[in-house]
Amino acid sequence: MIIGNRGIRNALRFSIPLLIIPALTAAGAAVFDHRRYLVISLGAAVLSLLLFSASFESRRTSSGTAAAAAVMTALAVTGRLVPVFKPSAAVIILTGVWLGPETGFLVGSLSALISNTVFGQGPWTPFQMLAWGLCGLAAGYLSPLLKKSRPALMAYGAVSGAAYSLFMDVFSVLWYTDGLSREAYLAAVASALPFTAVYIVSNAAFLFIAAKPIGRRLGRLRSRLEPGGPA
Amino acid sequence: MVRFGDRHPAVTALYYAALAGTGMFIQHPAVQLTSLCGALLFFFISRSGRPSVPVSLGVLALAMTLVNPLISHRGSTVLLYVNDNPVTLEALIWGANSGVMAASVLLWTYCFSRIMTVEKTLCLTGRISPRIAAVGASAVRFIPLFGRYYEDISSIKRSGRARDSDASPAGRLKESAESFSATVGLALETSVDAADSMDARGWGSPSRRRFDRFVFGWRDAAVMAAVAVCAGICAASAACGALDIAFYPVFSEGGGGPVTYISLAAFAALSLYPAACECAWLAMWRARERRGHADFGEVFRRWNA
Repeated sequence: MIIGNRGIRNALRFSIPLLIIPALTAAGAAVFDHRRYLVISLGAAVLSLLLFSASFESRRTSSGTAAAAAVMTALAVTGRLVPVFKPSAAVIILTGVWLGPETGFLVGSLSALISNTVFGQGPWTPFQMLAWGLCGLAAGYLSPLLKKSRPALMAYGAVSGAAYSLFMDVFSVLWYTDGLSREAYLAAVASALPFTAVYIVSNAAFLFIAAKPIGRRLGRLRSRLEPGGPA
Repeated sequence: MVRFGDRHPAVTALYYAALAGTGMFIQHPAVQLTSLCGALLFFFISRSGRPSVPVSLGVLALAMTLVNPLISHRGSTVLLYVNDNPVTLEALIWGANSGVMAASVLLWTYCFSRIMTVEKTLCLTGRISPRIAAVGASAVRFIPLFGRYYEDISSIKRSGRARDSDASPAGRLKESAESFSATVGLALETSVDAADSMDARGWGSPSRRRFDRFVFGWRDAAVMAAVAVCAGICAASAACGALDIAFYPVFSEGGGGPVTYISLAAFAALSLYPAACECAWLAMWRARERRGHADFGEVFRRWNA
């Protein structure tokens, strides 16, 4: 258990954002000539995931939250097997809204990791984990608003679908060309436009359908797990 | 002799990190070709998949080769003009090189995702982060369970209908949405039971120990050390410029001294190691069979299937 040690964990929590990522950026710019953007951003993505796992280990996660996170991860992975219109992102967003930002991030990143064993692992996996994790994390921070209004939830789903696509386009440009030029990025965005549209539509549609029934169930679960806590 | 994939997962993970870290970022064509050869040999010797996989990756490499000269006009050796834009030999070489790189990295990744099963991944992440590993492990277990829940619930729904022809397409859609919703409910209720049994097994208590199916032996340590040394040689010589290659304006090699050859040899050893492991494993079984110790035909039949 490497990060089971509290001292190392705390050291990581402070040193990754403040020291290691800036150092990686500087060293990468100095040492690597070719593909320096890809190596730096890949390193930063992996380190951010490590940072998150350190902070998740440090807090006392109840077994109930962990089990609920496992269920939502399984749902998101199964959702990705649905052809074309995939409810995975909606599941991740609802998890963030109802079970909190940390659980949202965990479910997002784990479901990207696990579903990629079917869809193909690759250098894109850390980026995908980070992108889906951030969708769940932001949903968790916006949860007071998103719990109250379904239009806001659908709008959030649409925005996060677009943001996910734009984020992954950065990766495809870095992967297929050397460096990030505006023309290449715009070309990647344009070629991914149908996918972006599908993400936006499917997120909004699934959130429209699922917000009430799944939200009700997650709320009930929460009140069962934490008797006397906020329902 | 042990198959490459039967080493401890830490060895496989380190090997893949070392190979991706060097092969993906060192642009030298010799490195890229060696990496592709190693990946192809391992793919075919270990029967990792159908031949259509390398064929489609070859198409990808060819496409990258042909597209690059059309979008990049750098380089000094003009081959021909397309719409008044020069198509240069250097851009063609750059495209071929990055095509080979993409194909070999993707082929290695394909082989590794066959070897690194979820169980092995969780064995590794469980050491770094036991709670997250527990969540991942139970998620993997829940996926087939929910499939069964969904089948059960939707068959109950179906049997509630008087006739199969009663269901219109819209009705069927509503039915499957209701089944899905009920599945989610059942799954979440299951998670409460799962949480109780996690508590009963000592979730979060400091004295809890892990159980792993994988044993880390001295051979694993030796392989890891050798992999680290090879990757270190490559990275060091890449950092000091011995593996530099310039594509523009003229294709030229930066290194060429003994350091270059040593690091190319180190990379060749690194990328041919999995295929060599598989060959040694096969040779071991063939030798035992020849000596008539036992009939290992069953092993081969299962492996060849």
